[in-house]
Amino acid sequence: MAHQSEELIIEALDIHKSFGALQILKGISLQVRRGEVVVLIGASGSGKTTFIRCINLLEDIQAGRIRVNGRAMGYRERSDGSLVRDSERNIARQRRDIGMVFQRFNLFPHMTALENIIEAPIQVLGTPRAEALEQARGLLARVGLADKASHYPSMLSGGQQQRVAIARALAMKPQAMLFDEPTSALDPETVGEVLQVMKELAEEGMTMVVVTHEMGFAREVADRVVVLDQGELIEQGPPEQIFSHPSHPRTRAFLSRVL
Amino acid sequence: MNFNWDVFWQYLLQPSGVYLTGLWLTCLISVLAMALGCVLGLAAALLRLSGNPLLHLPVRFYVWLMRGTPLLVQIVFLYTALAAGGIFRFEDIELFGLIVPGNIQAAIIALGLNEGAYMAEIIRAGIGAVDKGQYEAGRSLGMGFAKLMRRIVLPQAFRVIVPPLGNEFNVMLKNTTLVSVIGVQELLLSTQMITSATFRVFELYLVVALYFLTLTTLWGFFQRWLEVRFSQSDRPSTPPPAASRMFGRSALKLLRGR
Amino acid sequence: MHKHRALLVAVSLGLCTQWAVAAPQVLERLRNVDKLTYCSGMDSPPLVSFDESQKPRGLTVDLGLEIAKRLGDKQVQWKVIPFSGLVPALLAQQCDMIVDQLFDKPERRQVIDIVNYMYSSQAVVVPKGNPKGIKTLDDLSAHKVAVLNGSTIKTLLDTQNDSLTKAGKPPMKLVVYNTDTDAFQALRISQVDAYGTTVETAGYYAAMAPDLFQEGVPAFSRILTGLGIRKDDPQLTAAVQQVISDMRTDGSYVQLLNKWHVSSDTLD
Repeated sequence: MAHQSEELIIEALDIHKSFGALQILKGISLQVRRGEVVVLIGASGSGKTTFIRCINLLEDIQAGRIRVNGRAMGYRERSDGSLVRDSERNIARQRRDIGMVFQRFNLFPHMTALENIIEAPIQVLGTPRAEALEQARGLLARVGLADKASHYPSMLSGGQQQRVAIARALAMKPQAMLFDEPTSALDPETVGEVLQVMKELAEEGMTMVVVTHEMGFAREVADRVVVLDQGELIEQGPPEQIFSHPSHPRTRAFLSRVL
Repeated sequence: MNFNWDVFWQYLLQPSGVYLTGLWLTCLISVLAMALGCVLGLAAALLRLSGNPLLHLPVRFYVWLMRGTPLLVQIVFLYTALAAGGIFRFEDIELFGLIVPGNIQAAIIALGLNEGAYMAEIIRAGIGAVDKGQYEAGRSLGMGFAKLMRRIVLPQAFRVIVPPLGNEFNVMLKNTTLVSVIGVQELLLSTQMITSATFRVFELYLVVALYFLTLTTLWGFFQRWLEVRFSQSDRPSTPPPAASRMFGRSALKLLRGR
Repeated sequence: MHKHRALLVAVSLGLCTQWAVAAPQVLERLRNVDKLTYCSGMDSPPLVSFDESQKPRGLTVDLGLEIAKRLGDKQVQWKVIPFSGLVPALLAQQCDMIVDQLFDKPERRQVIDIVNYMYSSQAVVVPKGNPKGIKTLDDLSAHKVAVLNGSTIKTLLDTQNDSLTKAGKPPMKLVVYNTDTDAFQALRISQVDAYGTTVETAGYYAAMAPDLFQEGVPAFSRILTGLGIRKDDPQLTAAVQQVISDMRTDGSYVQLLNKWHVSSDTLD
């Protein structure tokens, strides 16, 4: 949205992924620049969730390259061209640069909101506890939940939990954030509060890749909308172009169903 | 009915030194064997998660063996049969200035090995009960396997593990009577030694039954407290009144589970 | 003529003696029962034990069978019970008589009657060569000794421990087993330094494996040994007593003890 640079944060090149015999991703390439907000849309089964999970290696890929922040992510190439997965330790280190927000929040239920947020900085980055706490309180305030610091996830509404999840991901100071259908599991009343947080994040210049069905959000916040269909990237462009003048017939078919 | 109340009250309320030693041994062996069983069970459960057959096949063999043979046979096998076969003999060892007899070592190890197999399955189920999303959240935050298990998965698994773990300790307390056959003077053998001198079998077996009942009931209260403490994050902001916790649904669960 | 009459008198007397011996059979107690139940630990060779085909054998077994025969050809049913449970089983009427190596002790006499049939002594068995140099009860200080639960030797060794402690010496560690076989096993696999038992059993095991075991502490504490019968069963006690007297008279008693090589244990 604001101040985009030419610097590539995420580079996915010709990604192929199969589940057994079933091919889900058939060669998807995507580049995301610093500060860009990319929204992925498409029908269910189009592979958009699988694709986003390949970026931070929650899913394996069978072919293709992923680079994050200029570094090859997660795979080394063998002499015959096949990919061998990097060590889990290396992958864990690389994942620090990318934050992820899940459809079902995945907050740690045995920790309070505050504890959820300080957990990774302390355990993974080695941040001193006092510093982590201060930072966490700041993040909670930023997502509008300063008074819920000592609440357990079971005491929070869905929208509140998701906002805590966003704060938790931000605590790692990632270069980019991935959002996997962040509002799909929420009651309609709470969808808005989460989208608002995401919008503010975008305005502050965070690089974001968002999978969502919320077309209003896409129209308002996205720099680029990417359309996936049956494992292929069929169309991408600015939201006005995609929503008003889609060129691909399957894009038109999809949009006519959802809009 | 031939029942001597004097003998009964005397042995119930004024236990002899031998008897108290037996009681102490029963508790000590139970605790140590349970600790060993939990350690072995955790190791086995984690190894079982591995995809590598070199790691998880030995575990499956161990669990199959321990659950497929009677505990009494395992105890006698470890202490007596191995020594008779010239394979291994438990010698007395000195530990912190005390002499630990070979049969007590064998008792703890046999009970612990057996318990480990059952704990492995319980812990495996506990780990399996943790939502997969937790692994994904931890991983996406950059956590490695060890941190993930220690900080995120195992604490949640523990909540599921505590009730069956409590039941296992209850069983362990009672299983210690089996080690009387290798000469360990725990509560049962101590009782048998006294009955052989006094012939008051009815009174003395009633006394030992009451001692065990006391032990298991005390443990039951502690287990209840553990279960409540570990479900803290699930509790609504005001806990239910203590009375209903003790004698309401919890008491029914107590009765059902035994 | 005198000779014929003398012969007639002798024969009549002989017949009368037979009839006198047969008197116990007429007792009420035994008239309507066709079997006697004997309790035993079957744990003390050569007096009571099982042979390879799981049949009872031993001196006291033979004695028990002979008694049943003389009491009117009664059948014998054996109940095997760990030694320390024999008296309770008898008191609970689970059997008619304890047929085992039961020592005649006052505390036992308080609860049951005992009909003596021989003497026994105690002994301590050690590995061949007596590696720990155990020759007297005092030598057992600080060693591990296996004993049967409820046995007299256990009581004796407990007393010995008291005197050892008083003399400032470390007591022996008694390891108690519920069967004598288990106690002997503990010595066999060197889990203990010595095994306390009766001299008859000690002799039996030493004879069985002379290159493995020997007597450590020789026979001590000579004590009467008997069969146990409930106090409320005086007729049976009297009948059994009579049978044993008869056996001593007609020589079968001595024969029995000789057969099992324990003639030194004859009743006075």
